[in-house]
Amino acid sequence: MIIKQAVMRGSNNAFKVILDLIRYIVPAVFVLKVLEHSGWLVRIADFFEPYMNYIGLPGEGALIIMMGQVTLYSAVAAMAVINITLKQLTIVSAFVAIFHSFVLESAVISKAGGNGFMIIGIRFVAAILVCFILNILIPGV
Amino acid sequence: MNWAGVFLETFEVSFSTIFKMTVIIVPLLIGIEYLKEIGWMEKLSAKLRKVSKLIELPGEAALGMIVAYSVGLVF
Repeated sequence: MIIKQAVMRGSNNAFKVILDLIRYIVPAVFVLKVLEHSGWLVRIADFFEPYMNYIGLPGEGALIIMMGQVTLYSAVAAMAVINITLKQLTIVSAFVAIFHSFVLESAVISKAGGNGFMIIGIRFVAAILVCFILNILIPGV
Repeated sequence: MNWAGVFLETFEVSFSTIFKMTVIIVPLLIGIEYLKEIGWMEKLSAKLRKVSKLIELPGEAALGMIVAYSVGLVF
């Protein structure tokens, strides 16, 4: 009985989450594919290459982080489009997990009574520090 | 620019990504519902009170932590 209820409610929730995912992932993949086909992806990647190399990412990592500022799911979509190695994937996932959708979240934090700017600053610094350490700790390319 | 290619690749990549995520999400959410059903969250939050005291948060924050870690996907 309990299991039946759990399966029903769980799949109901899963259906809602997957609809949400479709809403975010399809436009994000479309934008990235347009960038890729028009050649802008390479140009943006080249611009960010020197900064991204500090935390062991290729220039394309900047695009994943930018997509992560829209929603967390669009960052997932960006990871599916851009070809990067397992180590770089771990690093960029850690970055996006700590620092994502900062416009929306700083507004929420400010509404809740916190200092939005400070929280976002701390999260950004923490993300860079964690990625820097991960880049040293994880072996391989 | 090759628009047909853009649309085709968009469909391909989004479909495979969403399929892979479905395989993970459905069992995960069913498992979480089951754990909620047997009252696991309250039990674990009682245990985690000590941990949340350790980082100088009130004991009640433990329940928030559990909820954030487990049901955060269904916001």
